[in-house]
Amino acid sequence: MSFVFFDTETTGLKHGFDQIVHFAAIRTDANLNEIDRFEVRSRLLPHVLPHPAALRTNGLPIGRLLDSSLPSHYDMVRAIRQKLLSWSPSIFLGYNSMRFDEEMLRHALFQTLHPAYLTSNHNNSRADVWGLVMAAAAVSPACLNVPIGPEGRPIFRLEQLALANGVVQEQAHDALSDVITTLELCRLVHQRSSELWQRFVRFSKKATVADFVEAEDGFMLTEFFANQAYHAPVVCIGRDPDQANGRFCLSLNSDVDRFAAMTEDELRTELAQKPCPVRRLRINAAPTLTALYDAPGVMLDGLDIDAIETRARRVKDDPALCARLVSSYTSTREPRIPSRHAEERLYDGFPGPQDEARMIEFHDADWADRLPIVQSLDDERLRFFGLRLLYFEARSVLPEVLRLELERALSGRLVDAEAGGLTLEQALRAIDETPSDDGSDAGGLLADYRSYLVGRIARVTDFRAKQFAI
Amino acid sequence: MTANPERAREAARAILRAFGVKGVPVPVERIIKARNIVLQYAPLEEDLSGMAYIKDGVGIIGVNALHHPNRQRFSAAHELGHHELHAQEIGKAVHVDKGFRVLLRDDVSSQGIDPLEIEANAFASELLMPSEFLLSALDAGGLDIEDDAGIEALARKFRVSAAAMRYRLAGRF
Repeated sequence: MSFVFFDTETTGLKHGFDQIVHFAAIRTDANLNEIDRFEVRSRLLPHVLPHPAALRTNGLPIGRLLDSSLPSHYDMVRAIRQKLLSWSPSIFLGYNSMRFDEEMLRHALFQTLHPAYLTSNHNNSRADVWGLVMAAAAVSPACLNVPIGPEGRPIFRLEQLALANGVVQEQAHDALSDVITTLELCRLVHQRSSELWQRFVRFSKKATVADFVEAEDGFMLTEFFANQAYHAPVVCIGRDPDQANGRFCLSLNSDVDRFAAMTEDELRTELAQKPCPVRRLRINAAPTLTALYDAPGVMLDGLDIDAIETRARRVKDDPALCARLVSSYTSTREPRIPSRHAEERLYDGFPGPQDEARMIEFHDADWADRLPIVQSLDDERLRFFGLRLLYFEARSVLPEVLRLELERALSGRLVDAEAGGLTLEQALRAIDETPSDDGSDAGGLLADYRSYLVGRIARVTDFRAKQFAI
Repeated sequence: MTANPERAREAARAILRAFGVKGVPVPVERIIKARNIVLQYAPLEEDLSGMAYIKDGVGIIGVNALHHPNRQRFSAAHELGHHELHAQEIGKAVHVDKGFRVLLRDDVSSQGIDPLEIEANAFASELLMPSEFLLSALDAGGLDIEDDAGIEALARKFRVSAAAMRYRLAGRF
């Protein structure tokens, strides 16, 4: 078993609408020695337009993304899945991967009719190196050199961290290069702060976090806002009724007896204050937690551990107070309205077991036999993505009526600002709004993309006019 | 060597007394750290629960980060047992195996064939499920060994796996 470090390069930042175009991963042993690596690219999906800022960041010319010799998005996702499954179980790590790369991967898997949660199922677990380096800077400053920006705030951009720590980076924002850099930073923390590394590894497992927060009589929770770490002694007061992986904690800097004496209205008002004494953590998101007896002095800041534990037990021994705090906190939540776009509905429930079986059947079937499988899916999101997948991969197997319907929908996404993704006009505008004198487009990358967009606008307009009389 | 599980259980009881443990769950990590043994988590092979070794004079316990936390606790306690009971065996091997000797928890140990493993299991069992607290928990509620829900509730209270609790109640540790 092992660690898997991974990174993605994408067409933009919008989960569900942008796509992965480059994926890289390195598998290491438990001591962070490389034992395998994997890299794959994909050509652009026909209905996806890269954001100009993304192209500028990762330096990919539009011509490279259209290269027909590259694997299709479906083939890339199949290859990623196959490789990552062969490496499971492992602990999956990336830099800012929880918020971004992993989300992109989940959407890519879901939209190609695969179970989305590859890195947290199959006995895998996951953590984010971004949190690790911020924790290192906060509690073990000798571990890493963290550059400071002009406003006096620490900078945690991978590129600048690498530079400040003597990690040679071949090409920033290249997926494989970023994976190597992330691995190097982990090696530094592993060597220089074993305690921190151990806590990081330990809390990569959801069950371990759940067990820890529920069993401990208080612990330190570290949260990060605007790149600054904030440590608080807390005690777990219960589960989030709306999210199985959510846990609520009460800050032990608060006056517990005062809360107990409050009416419901007073409590709701109190919990609406900022900063709120109730904190929420996700047990599946590798939170930064420290046992009180492990907490370094800088984190405790003069706190008396015995007093904190006594206060924690006072809270835990009062389940009625815990329940009141949780219900007061959650009572002011706005109800969540499901999106009308399938791309934004990944978290609206799991496919049923029958659909899971049909998804397996889908990938094993000949293309000609896949349409009835897609049409038999109970989950409308999967039917939507399945038909789109058939159009991308094997248009000829679709009846003409269905093909035209898909062409209308897919080409509509390139011109309709309400469809959720970047439109041709928006992409063009973003290029035109990019300052031309900052030297950032020395290679003519945006100029080439602009020509492509202008040509595509003409083709799409013409196509839609002919096909749909618009 | 013949296994002496009672010696192992007594060693565990001595640690509980020295640490002033007044109830369950027993804070095994805290005990390990208080004994200046380094506790490390790493993603290990599925059949590997933990390891005990000495490196540069420092006692180290490795635990499989991918296992369930209750299993991790038992592994940590088991490896502590090796440090407490088998320091000589661990120490001796320093000279013959790249700087340290590793005692792996594997199929052999779970079968309880190796005397060292029998003793480490007895130690871990007594440390995490001390007879004193186990008896009072059983007296309080009574327990039918065939009652799965009862065993699971008891296991949750002691933060061990239901399998470990069954073994303990059946007197196999």
